[in-house]
Amino acid sequence: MLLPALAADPFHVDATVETLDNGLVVIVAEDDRTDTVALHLTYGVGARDERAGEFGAAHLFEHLMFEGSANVPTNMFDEWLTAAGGSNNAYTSEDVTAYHMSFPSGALDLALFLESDRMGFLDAGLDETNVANQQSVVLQERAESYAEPNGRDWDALGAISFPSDHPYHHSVIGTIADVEGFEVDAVRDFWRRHYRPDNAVLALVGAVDTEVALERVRHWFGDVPRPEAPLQRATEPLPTPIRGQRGVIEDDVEERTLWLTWPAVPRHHPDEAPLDLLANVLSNGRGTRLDDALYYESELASSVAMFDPFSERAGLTMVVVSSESTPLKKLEKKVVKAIERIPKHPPTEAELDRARRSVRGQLLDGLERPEDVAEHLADCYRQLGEADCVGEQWARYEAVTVDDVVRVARKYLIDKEPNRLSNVPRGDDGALAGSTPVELP
Amino acid sequence: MSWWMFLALVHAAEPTPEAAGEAPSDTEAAASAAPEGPSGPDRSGPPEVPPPEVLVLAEPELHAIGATQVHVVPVPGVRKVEVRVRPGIGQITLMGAPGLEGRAVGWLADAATADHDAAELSGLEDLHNLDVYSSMSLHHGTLGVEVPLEDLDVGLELLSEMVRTAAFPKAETRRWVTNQRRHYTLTGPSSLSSVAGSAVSYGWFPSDHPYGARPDLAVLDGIDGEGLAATYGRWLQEAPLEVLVVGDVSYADVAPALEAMLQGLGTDGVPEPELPVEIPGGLRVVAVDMPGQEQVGLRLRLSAPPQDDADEVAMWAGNHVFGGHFLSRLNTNLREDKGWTYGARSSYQRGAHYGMVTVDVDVAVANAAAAIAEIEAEVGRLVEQGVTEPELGLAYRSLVQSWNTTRGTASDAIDRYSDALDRREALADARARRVALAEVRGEAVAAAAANWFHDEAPRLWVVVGDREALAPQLEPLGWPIEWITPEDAILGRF
Repeated sequence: MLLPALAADPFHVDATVETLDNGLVVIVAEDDRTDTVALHLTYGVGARDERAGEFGAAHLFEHLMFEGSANVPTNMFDEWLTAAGGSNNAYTSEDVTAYHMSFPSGALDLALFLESDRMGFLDAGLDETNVANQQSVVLQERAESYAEPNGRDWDALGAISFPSDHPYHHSVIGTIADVEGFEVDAVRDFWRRHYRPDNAVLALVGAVDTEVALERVRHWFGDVPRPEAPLQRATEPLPTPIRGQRGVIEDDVEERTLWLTWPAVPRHHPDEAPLDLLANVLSNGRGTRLDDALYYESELASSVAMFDPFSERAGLTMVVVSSESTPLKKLEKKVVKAIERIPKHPPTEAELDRARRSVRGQLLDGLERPEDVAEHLADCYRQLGEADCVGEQWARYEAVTVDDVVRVARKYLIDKEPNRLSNVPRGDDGALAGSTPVELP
Repeated sequence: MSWWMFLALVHAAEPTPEAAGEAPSDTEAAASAAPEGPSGPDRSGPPEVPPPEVLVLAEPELHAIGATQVHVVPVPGVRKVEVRVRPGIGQITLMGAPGLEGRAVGWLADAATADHDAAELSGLEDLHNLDVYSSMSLHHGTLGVEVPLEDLDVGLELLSEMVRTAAFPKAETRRWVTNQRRHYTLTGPSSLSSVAGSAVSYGWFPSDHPYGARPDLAVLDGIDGEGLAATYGRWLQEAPLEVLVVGDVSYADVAPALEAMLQGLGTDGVPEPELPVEIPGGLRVVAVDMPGQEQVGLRLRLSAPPQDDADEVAMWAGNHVFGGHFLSRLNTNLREDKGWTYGARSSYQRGAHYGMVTVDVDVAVANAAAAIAEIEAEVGRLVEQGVTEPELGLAYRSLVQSWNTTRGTASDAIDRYSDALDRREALADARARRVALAEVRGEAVAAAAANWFHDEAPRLWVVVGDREALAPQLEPLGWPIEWITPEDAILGRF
């Protein structure tokens, strides 16, 4: 067996892929540094798959997946797994819903039993009590998040950065009315549409023997039926990105914050790597341009960051900057100026090398723990059709030139009007002119 | 009988609803109808899981460089190496009292060195995927580096630079001072979670004890890089030092660099002990008014056994059942059964002379009084009924599994070995405490809870929210409430 850390190619993960008759893709990689196995099961369903009137369904459904299935009574999913020394959690994004576990190797059968039962036979465990309870939990999750300073910003950014008919316009947590309005039948319908073996990728990484693991997966998942109806996921062209929106959130904060967003590219687009490196050149700590100009050398801002939340169908480039006293208009000018300087003052080789190596380190850090490796393998396969893709990702970063960085700065940012979200203290008039309140119903 | 045998028997012995004369629920009816053909898997119950074994962790290899003990823990196969220098005194001994200056020394030591300014150091960290870090706590400190094995030389060189020539530049120092002011006067008071955390900490430890020392913002005016550098130099001269090395390395790989780094530093002696602390008994209620806040932060802190107390292991297990994981009583009650919170949890912290259990729950204001009543009821249930064998079984397996993953990464391993050094105990003793969890019984948990959670024991409630909405809910409780502002909470002015 070749441990990721010891392989000649540090990005290579020795993984085996098999597709079961029902369409489930299974990926197995061995790593016996500890007696632990990580399981990562990703379903191709996220907030972008929600129809009008069911905003928040994917995330609510993530909660309901722990409420029991045909052969796992309510609350026993967690109890049986915990009693075996395992732990688990889940997350929902715009693109996917993922369930992840970690457990001692002796609990492999238990873990596969639990996951296969809720993949194949969940609807029997859905009842009004469970749905009502998790509706309350989800609404409280939203309320707790929104109660913290800047807690509504992220959801507001989606609302101003994507047009109303764009699948990323609405938030993952959903609207109060939609979450409150779900009934058991609608939930069952959602499960049938999306929770099917041919819409899932299962990765197992850790103290397993590949052949044994594959055999046990076939055993537990082999009888999960594949629906006759073909899997349907929207792939129609997306609405044109919007620019120039100005929104404002009044919040229980003492500082003002400005978010700028520019429409960019989806994940794995050829321009993803140069855009990401541009963001790293401008903002990645001491010695990077934006951070030095606004924070380290001028103290105009109390914090600044630039990054690219690339999703599967669309992406943004973002800057966020906060200050107690500097007007947001001035902060915006500084940000735009730093970006506009790029063609005349392109990144030096040293700047680009630092940005590249920073990404390289992050990629390698993501291959240290079995849990992270399992997630990488599942994501890679789902998005690119091959499990071992981190090396290829790195190759794309390695190939980026200074000219590429300048080109994407011109193409996506320079002279392109951003969307702007101001977050200001309640009653403060420091939002950018022309901003209108962003409602998050 | 061990608890896992007990668990297995409990599952095996549970009567079917029909046998017990009950109508099957929809779920159970569906279960009996689920496909279980001759070719399909047996889904009639959870597959058996073998009982856990508590991993035996090797003791560190011990070496000496002058007065400094070097503890080396080889962990084959991990990508990174982590090296920590641990000064055995902290703010209290070095500065006479804890305060912002001591915190500044620890925070800023990793900002720059004589050979590399802050931008260069930050760039080197990116180039080599390494992290140089520092901190000074009340009784000790940490100066460390985490670095990929192939860049070990670079990592050790930068660690050595930090240890010997940390530079405390003016600009970095001024920025730290600005950020501290911002935290204490602007951002801290506007965050419900920060306000609640500070109110619990300052409400618990007396202001005249070093553990309860309040931040004095006037000190910030006098903080400058030269003064910090002098204090830092004195720290590494006067402190007994230990070094912990974890990774796929041997002592020979690091010895030359460590010898050069430690030359002339450190002193004989042992790390300073923690201080006894007396928390006033009885109920204290601190309420923080955050006008307009729709959520309520609820925190309850209770006295608990210190480490090595006869009740420690029982309290450890009891806390896990009470609020230490997703299936805990608090989370099951307040989240899963009632839907009032996104998460309810409790933690058990202990040192040589103190221990405390802290409950942490956020709810909508309408549920505040009811949630307080439920939390108190769960405390009472722990005291009166203890915990069940299956609940203890869950706690044991979870705590064993977290131990068994120690060798997954250098970072996991160094935290485990650092904990052992903090407690001045061998890994075998730390392991024995995990093994002892299997022997804990429900009655022992009840006895420990009764010993520490009784009415005369210290008990602090912190409630953070909109006073106008909260006051009518709290009034029927008849509590002696101290209302304070968020600013008072953050600065401990109460």
